[in-house]
Amino acid sequence: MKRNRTALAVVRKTGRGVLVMLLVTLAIVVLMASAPGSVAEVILGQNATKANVAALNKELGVDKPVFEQYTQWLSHALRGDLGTSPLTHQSVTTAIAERLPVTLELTVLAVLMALVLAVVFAVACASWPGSPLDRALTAVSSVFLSVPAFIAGPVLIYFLSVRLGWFPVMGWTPIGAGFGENLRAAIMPSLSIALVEIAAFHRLLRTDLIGTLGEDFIGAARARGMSRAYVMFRHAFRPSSLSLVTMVGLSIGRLVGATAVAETLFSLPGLGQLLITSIGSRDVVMVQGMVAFTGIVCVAVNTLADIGYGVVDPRVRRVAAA
Amino acid sequence: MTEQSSSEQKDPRAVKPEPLLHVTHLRAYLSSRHGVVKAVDDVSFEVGHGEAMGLVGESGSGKSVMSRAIMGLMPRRSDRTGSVLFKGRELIGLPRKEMSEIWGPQISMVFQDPGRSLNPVVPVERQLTEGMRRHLGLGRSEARGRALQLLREVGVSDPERRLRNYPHEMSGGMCQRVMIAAALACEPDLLIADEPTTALDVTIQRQILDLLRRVQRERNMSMILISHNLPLVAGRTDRTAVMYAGRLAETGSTRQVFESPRHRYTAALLAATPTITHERHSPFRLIPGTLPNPVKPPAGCRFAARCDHFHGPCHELGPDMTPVAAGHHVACADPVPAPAAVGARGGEHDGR
Ligand SMILES: Nc1ncnc2c1ncn2[C@@H]1O[C@H](COP(=O)(O)OP(=O)(O)O)[C@@H](O)[C@H]1O
Ligand code: SF4
Ligand SMILES: [Mg+2]
Repeated sequence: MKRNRTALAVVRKTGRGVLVMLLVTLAIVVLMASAPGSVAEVILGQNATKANVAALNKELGVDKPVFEQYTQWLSHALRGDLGTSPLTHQSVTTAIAERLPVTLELTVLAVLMALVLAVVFAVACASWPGSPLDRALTAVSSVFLSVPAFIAGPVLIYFLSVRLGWFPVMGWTPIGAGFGENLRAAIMPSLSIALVEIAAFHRLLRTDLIGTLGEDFIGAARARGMSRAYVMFRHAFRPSSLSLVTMVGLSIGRLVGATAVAETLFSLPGLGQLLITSIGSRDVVMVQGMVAFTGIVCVAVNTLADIGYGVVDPRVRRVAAA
Repeated sequence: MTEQSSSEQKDPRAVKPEPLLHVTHLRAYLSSRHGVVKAVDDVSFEVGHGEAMGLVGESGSGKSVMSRAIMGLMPRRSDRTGSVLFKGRELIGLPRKEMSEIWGPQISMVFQDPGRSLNPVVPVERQLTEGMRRHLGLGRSEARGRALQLLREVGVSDPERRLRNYPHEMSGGMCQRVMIAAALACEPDLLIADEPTTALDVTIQRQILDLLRRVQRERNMSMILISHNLPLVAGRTDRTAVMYAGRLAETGSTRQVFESPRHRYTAALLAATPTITHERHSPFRLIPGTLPNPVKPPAGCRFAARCDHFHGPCHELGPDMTPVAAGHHVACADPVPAPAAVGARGGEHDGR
């Protein structure tokens, strides 16, 4: 009974996610069609005649009405065929599969770093709210929150790579070529996109922890003589991490977007970089395929977050559908 | 029987036994938006070994703050002075680490709202066993065995299932039984129950109070039973202390306090309390007027503004109580005249 209701909530949310994806991919076609320039011009180069461009556009099918282009793409996509780039002649799925590991690693690393640092910060702050430590960490957090990755990245590069030489300035080493080197290449770009998330997680968790620590059941656990650390981690942490779970789900979507910046900045062969080049060359097929793929990932992650919510809080299993 | 005065002792050579809890000049001030709240303002009393003391007084009189001041579980911005001697050891100023050794195996507490004093995301088993594992060094299965035993002791049916429950899967009364079991788990010498039934149905209230009294007696434990509801406390305590606006008005055997109240406040309270036959949820709001401002309490007797017998000397009254009978102490400039003698001992008043 309870389980059914959770399932219902998940189905409803997933349905909403699919709808959003349809709208987004449609919007991409419309936007790309109305933007100046076309993939044919890119392929044929500067000296192409108008007639040549029109012919190639016709061949590629981009001269058809926008809606027709879209339904055609969709019917293929639903069968798992995201098409082939007219520019590189590479299949979109292959291109994604090739570049996914980089983006995935950056995202996972960024989430992990953000979580670990945010938890340390938040627990310290909530243990002594209003203390100088709390105020200092909260101030640091505010700075993180207001610094976008395209500024944080160069600053990190300057200090940690150029001045200290701890990490490579740019470039990528795949995991296959040595785990340590791979990690060294991944840490800085991940950190530059994680800063905002650290701040966001920290603020949320700090507030929730302070709220929870004021609850009667915390007083009751103290009155049983449980230690500070035990009360914090075994009683206060879980009920305080509910909104954090949702936040992490949302932040993964944000991070996937942010990896585009980091990959460009650090010249890493990931999805984001491909997306940006594809947009530049009006490669609608590639852009469309990548947006669809990213969308699926985001919907899946948010569904997982909903399920995680129920795992963290037994009461939610009952009220999830409400 | 364990008041400060020893004037009534029959055998002058008898050494007065050390009380389990000896509170003197306890003050607990809290900071609030309106200023410093003098929630507990110079209170002295004792609780003997194996004794159940009722602490009564209308809402806002400082009972909860006092119980937390004894426990040492005060809010952040607060100030606690005076002395709390527990088994001869001073608790005020004791570091948190040492206090946490006392919380559980020495003093434990049952709170007002069982629905909120159990962690909603932690199964009953852990909340019940964590204290035993920490203080008694029990392993998982040992602690579980004892938890089952405790649940049976507090009248929980199907204890195995209960251990797996989350608080939201149980009724309020059941949650409070679990809380009581958790409070008893490490065999404390003193149990403080702060309005343990106020959040419960009337029928459940009695069961829970009777349960507390039963385990208190069976275990020969001391207990402070706090309530704003006089009749509920009457039948289940040996002694009673009446609190008003941060001070104690009267202490004595429960029988003395209920049968021959000497403080004007106690008397008014009892007169205003519905009798046994139509006992309700009613806190005694029936004395005209309200508690004085706890930030700026009046000098002298704090009940003066509401008292029919107020006269000059009431303004000079200090916080100390004077004996009016064996074990019966009152802080009133014009106490109710003494009726025919009422026993100092002999515990409960059949106020049910
Ligand atoms: N955390 C707090 N901060 C400030 N004032 C408080 C706090 N808790 C209680 N008080 C005040 O202390 C006084 C005594 O409250 P309390 O001990 O809860 O009374 P009782 O338990 O007898 O109903 C009241 O005036 C109340 O408003
Ligand atoms: S001291 Fe005076 S005002 Fe206070 S209760 Fe006694 S008679 Fe009334
Ligand atoms: Mg209270």
